[in-house]
This record gives sequence, C-alpha cells and structure tokens, in this order.
Amino acid sequence: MTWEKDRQLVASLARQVVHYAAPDELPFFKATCDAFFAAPKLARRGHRDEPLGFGLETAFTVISTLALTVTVDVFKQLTEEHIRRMIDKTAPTFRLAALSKLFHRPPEQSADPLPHLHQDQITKIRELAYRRARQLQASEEQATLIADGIAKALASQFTMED
Amino acid sequence: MSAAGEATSPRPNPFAIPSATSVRFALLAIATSTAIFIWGGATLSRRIAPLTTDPAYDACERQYWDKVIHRDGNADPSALDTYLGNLPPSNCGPHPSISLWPNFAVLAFFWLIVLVLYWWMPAWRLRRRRLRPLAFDENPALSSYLTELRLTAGVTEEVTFVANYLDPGVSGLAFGRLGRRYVALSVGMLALFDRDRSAFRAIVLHELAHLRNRDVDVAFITIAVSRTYLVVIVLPIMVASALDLLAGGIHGYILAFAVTLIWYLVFLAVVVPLIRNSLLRSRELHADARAALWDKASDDLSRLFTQQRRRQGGWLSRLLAVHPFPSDRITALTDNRNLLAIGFGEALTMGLTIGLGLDLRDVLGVENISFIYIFWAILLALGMGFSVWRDAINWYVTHGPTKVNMAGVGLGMGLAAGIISPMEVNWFEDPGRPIVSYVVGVILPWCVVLVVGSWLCVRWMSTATRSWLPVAATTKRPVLVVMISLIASAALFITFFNYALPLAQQAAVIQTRTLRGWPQEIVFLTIVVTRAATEPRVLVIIILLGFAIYPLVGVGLTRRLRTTSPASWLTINPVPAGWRAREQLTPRFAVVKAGIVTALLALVLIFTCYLVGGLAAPTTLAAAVGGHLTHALVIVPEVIAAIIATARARDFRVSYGIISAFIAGVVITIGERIAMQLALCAMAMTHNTSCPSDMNPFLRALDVMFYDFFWGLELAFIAALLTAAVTHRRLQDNSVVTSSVAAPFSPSR
Repeated sequence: MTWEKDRQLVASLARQVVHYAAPDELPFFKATCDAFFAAPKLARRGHRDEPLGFGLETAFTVISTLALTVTVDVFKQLTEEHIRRMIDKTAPTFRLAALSKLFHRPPEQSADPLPHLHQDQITKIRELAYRRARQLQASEEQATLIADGIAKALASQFTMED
Repeated sequence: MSAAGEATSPRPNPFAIPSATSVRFALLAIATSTAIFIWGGATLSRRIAPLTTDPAYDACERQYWDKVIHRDGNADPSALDTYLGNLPPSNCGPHPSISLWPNFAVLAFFWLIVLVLYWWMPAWRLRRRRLRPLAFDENPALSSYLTELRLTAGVTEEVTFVANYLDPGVSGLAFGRLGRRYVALSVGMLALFDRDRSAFRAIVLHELAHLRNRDVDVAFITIAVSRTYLVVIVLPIMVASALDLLAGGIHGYILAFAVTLIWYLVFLAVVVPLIRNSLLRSRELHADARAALWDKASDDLSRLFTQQRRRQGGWLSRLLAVHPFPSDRITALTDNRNLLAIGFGEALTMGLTIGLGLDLRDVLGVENISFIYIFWAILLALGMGFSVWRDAINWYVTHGPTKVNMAGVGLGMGLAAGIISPMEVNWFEDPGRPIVSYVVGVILPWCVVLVVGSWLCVRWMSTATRSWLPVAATTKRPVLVVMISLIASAALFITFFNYALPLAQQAAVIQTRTLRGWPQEIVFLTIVVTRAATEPRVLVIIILLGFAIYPLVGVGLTRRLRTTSPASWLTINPVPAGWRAREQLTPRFAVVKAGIVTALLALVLIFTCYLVGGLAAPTTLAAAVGGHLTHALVIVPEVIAAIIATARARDFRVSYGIISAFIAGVVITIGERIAMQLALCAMAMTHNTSCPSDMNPFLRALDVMFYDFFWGLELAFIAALLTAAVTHRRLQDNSVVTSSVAAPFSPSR
C-alpha cells in the first residue's frame, strides 16, 4: 500500500516532467511506467551489438525512462529531506546513533505527503536531477529539460491526480 | 562513386546466388558436428567403455602394421603400386569393443540442446527483456504503418511487433523461431515514429529484411551451436581429457590423442565464435542491402549510419563485432561488391571443415576412402561454387576484377590445418625415424601441395564460371548452367582429393616399406610425381582434357548467345541504356595450332631421322625405335606445344596448353607410326623388297606410344602451369579494366 502510493507519486512527477520536456512521448508513458516499476534495473540502453539488432548507437534517446529514473532518485532525496526535518523537530535526546544510522541508510518508502519546498531546496534538487540525468548519458539538452521539468513540477506542488 | 554514377551503374544482385552465409552456416554445423562425433564420441567411449583387450585381434593388428611399415624386415618392392593406391585392408575385422553408439549419442545430445535453445530462446528473450506487445490503442496509426511496412518488405509470415519500454535508445531487433516471428522496437523507436518517420521506416525495414532474408533461424541456430559447443562440449571434454592424462600418464599415443583433442577443440572454440560473428556481420550487410531496395530506405539508412556515434575500431574490433562498422554499411548500401566477394577467412573455414570431416573415415571404419572424398568434395563444390559464382556476377556486371587467389590459398591452408594433427603425425611415427624429419620431409611439403592444389582448383572454378556466366545470363535456365558448373567443380575436387590427400600416408608407408634409407623429401617428391602413373591412363587423359575443354565450351556458347544487357536476375537495379556487357572472352583456337605445327615439325624430324638413320645403318633404326628416342620424340613435342600455346594465349592459358599438347600427342602418336612405315617402305624399296604389311608390330608399338603420350600430357600439364606462372600476364579481362573501357557504363557511349 505504502509503496503503491510512492509509486504513484513518482509516476505523477515523472509524467509532469515528460509532459513538459517531451509531450509526444505521453502515449507510451503508461506502458513505460509499468515496465519501469516492474524492472527498474533493466531501464537502460539496450546492447547495441546484439545479433540481428540494428546495431547503431544513435544519439537520440527518449526522456520517459530517464525521467523515471531521475525522479526516483529525486524522490529518495525528498524523502531523505523529510526524514531529516522530522528528526530535527524531535527532541535532541532522541537523536541517537541508531537514528543517525537510519538517517544515513537509504530511506524506505514513505507514505507521508511531500513537504513544501523552498526555492533553494528546489534549486538543489534541480542540480541533483541534472547531474543524475547526465550520469545516465542524457544529452545536455535532455538533462536540462528533465531537471527543469522536475523543478517546475515541485514548485507547482504537483498532485497525485496529475 | 558519384551520385550520377550510383544512379546509372548497374549493381550486382547479392541475392542471385545463395549467399556465402548460408554455406558458412552449413559448414559451421558440419564442422562442429564432425568434431563432436569424432572427439566427443571418442572421449565418451573411453570414459564409459574403456577398450577391452582381445589377444587374437591385437595380434592380428600388430602383424598387419608390422607388415605395412616393414618392421619385420621383409622388404617387398613389388608392393609399390599397392601402396600408391591405398593401404591394404587389415582383414582383422572391427575392434571387438569399438562401438559407434557413444558418437551418435553425443551428437544427438548436442543437437537436442541446440534445438531446445533455438526453440526456447524467443520466449526467454521476451521474458528477460520484459518485451510486451505494442499498445496500438494509443497510437492506431502505428499499427497500420507497421502492416504496410511488412507488406512492402514482402514478409508473408505473421510478425508480432513487441516493445521494449525500458530501452530509451533507438533499436530494433528481429528474432523468433519457426512459426513465431517477432520484431522488437525500443521505446526510443516508438518515439521516433512521430519525430523522424523516415528513420523509423528505415530501421523497421532493416529488421523486416532480416525476416525476409530468413536470417533469424540461421542466426539463432548459429548462436545456439556456438554456445552449446563451448559450454556443453568443449569444457567437459577438456576436463575429461585432463583427468585421463593425469590418470594414465603422459606418453605416446595418449599424449598424441590429448594434444590432438585440445588442438581440435580449442581451435574450434576460437574459430566457431569468429565464424558466428562473421556470419552475423554478413547478414547485417545483406539486410541493409535488401532494405536499400525499397523506396528511399537507402538514403535514410545512410543518414543513420553517418550520424551514429560509435567510434571505429581496429581489425580486432572488426573481427569480434557482430555488426559491421558503419562505414562498411554505408558502402554496402551503394556498392554490393563486398557482399559478392569471397574472402580468405571464408575459404579457410571451408577447408578446415573438410579437413576435420575427413577423419570420419577412421571413426566410421569406411574401407573405401573415395566415398568420404566424394561426400566432402560435393559439399566443398557447393560452398566454393556458390562463392565463386557470386564473385563472377560482380565481375560480369561491374567489370571489376575477380578476386579468388586468397580464397584458394585459404582453402588449402584450411585443409592442411584440418587434416594434420599430432595424431596424424604420431600414427606414422617410425621408431627408427625422428618425428621432426617426418614433419619437415613429408608433412610440410604435403601442406604446400594442398595449398597449391587448392589454389589451382579455385582458379579453375573461377575461370570456368566466368566463361559460363554469360551463358547463364542469356539462357532461360540459368539454374541448369549453375548446376552443371557445380557438378564439374565437384568432379575437380574429387580428383584433387584422390590425388593429394593420401600423399603423406603413402609417402610414409613407401618409405618404411620399400625405400628405407632414402631422404623423406625425395620419397615424397617421388610419390607426388608418380602418383598419377598408378591411375588408369585413359581416365587421366579424359580428366585433363575435360577440365581443359569445359571453360572453352562456355566461351564458344557465349559467342553464339551474345547479349547487350545482363539478365534481370543479375542486377538489383534496372540496367541503363547503353550498358555494355563485359567484353566477351574470345576463343583463340589459333593458339592450338602450336600443337599441330610442333607435331608436324617433330614428325618431319622423326621421319628424317628414320630415313637417314635407316638408310645409313638399318640396325640403328631398330635400336632407336626400341630405345629412348621414341619416348623423347613423343613427350618433348607435347611439352613444347603446351609451352607455346600457354605463352601465346591471353586467357584460359593452361586449357589451351593442354589441348595443344593433346593434339600434338595424337598427331605424333599416329604420325610416328606412319613415318616409321614410310621409312621401312623406303628402306625396303632400296633393297628391292616389298613394304612390310603386318600391322601387329604397328599396333603393339602404338600401345607403347600411348604410354608415352600419357606421360607427355602429364608433363605438358605441369609445363603449362609453369609457363602460365612464369610468363604471368594480366588476363584479357583485367587489361580491359585498365583500358579506356574500364567502366561498365559510360553516359558518353
């Protein structure tokens, strides 16, 4: 149940990114999304030297898969931020090593709504998204589009109905 | 090539003759099957059913081999002819514990796994890649467009289009099995449908071209064969062999067996993947060429190849890749010549396969080796024959040169590498003879014979094909012409195998049996020269003459069927007006006059000798006739005629040389007898007696003359070959290429 909510959040955010960056990919977004959540580790460029494949490494890639991967990372970052704030709000005496470990661990899925983000936080997340997209071999233009799309969606406080 | 040139030049059709890829696939299957049958079966036999000893059988075999390799000290020089033929049968019967069922079991096991992999691979790929049927409901235009492309490509089978929604790049993939064909499109491809329709079309057509070219079954069975061979066969057998070695110690036969095993298996373990990659690269080029036939796809593919980002690599990257470099693909789109060329590696593989396959004789226990030779010769004729025909089509349509020399060398090297093994060497090891001298004295010269012989065979095939191709281009039944050509090629290889393959074995046996103490090189050379003498003389003459005349018949027919445009099946684009057929090869029977003139001069000389010698001293004539003079007077003119005709001819030079020598031989053989009769008559007249009328001495002498005629023709053949090699001229057609009519089509014409 919890994971399902998070999934919907990620999908919703990524959908906004695709809507912003590459609207012509929307017809395939749902199918891409389903495939992505079924096997996120397989979301990568196929092996170009596959027998009877086309065998070319073209510069062109779609944004949907990249947007989903980047959004997951951003979502993790947001969750992390959210946990950190919750910990900050609690009494300092509870800030023990165990919680610290938990803090440094990759966050589990959270069903809590995303916090309201300040502009500087959005800027940081945008930078994170850009870096991650570039790591995924997105072109500079695509990385910018994805990062801008995420920033824009977060600034407008996207909703799950999106 | 300029754009104008591309538009107007006829392009050879790479689909006119079964491609070399099909042949390579067949050879890969045969090579691996043979290796598995022989060595897999042998290893299994040794592990599950070790050879039991049978004293009676062992004693019989020991006696047989002692006799064969003369360890009993009883030399029998009269057995030379027997050993020049084949080894005598041992008459010991089959080994009591040898059974072929492990061989068949291993082979069946291997192919069962291959077929299971082939059948299961598509389902596994669908599952592993999470490929899903395309969601056409959100894009109905895509569905109809893909159907339209399938019809454009002429793919009649049902094709399921599936999507890889996880691959953001642009990629397509054809795969499947019999009855289930799939084309997978990445989500990047789906996006391309709206963004760059022409690129989308080109890539889908490329994948559909794979289906149209029937690449899927060939490619995936090849992959299955390659993987199964490496994982299921090579590794276990090598481990088993290592255990055998550790258990039994390293010595003699066991060592030779193990080294041979490793030689074959490791060699194939390297070669099989390389063949697989080469096959897959070739299929990609063929798919590009096929897709380029369809409207505008050529330009779109070319644009994609030009845009692609992958860096070019060196020769090793080229060898290991399963896709050709983009530069090669761009070239193949506009120039099909590479698709029609026959390469060194391809021929090497063929030779290697045949060489490995020849070991089947020992495993199957076939007494008559000729059956094995015929089987492999037919396969080789098919493989090389198709390749040579494709090369000739390129020669005919584009007026380019023929390139078969390296293929001939490759074939010979492959044969040598396949046949010769440590087992082979060990088998004839004589305790009194160092193995190194056997290798240097017999094995290496034998390799040279194999390479030179293979090269000559391929050259002859190319020459014959070039002479018959214009006939095939004109006739309504080109398949018949191709079939006849393949049959002739098979006959050539049967002859070559029968002559060349037993040479090393015979040299080893002859040396130990009758020529002990002779240098091995000399023994081998003797066998090489005298080998043909043991064959029926009429048969040898017919074979030599047949192979000489066959190309010239094609040339003769070509002149009758002169054509101005190639048949439509030879080109993939309409032939422009003004295209000129390749300059027809002209039969130059004038050069054969050399044979007649030489023979007549020799006859005049003979008659003069007989007359002068007979009148001066009658006994001298009898001595001369009975001595070496007659032999020389028949043989030498044949050789001279062959040399003159070969040197004068511009093409089919050896053919003309042989025919000229044959004519000279016939004229001299008959003329010498007539000259003799005339000389005897002249002598009789001087002694006031009548001419001798008894024809029996005449006919008896004719038989002797026929023997000389046979030897003369063999020597003439060698002389023609040497003359052709020494007085190397460019072929008539090559000179055309460098002249003012180099291009097949010139708009100015």
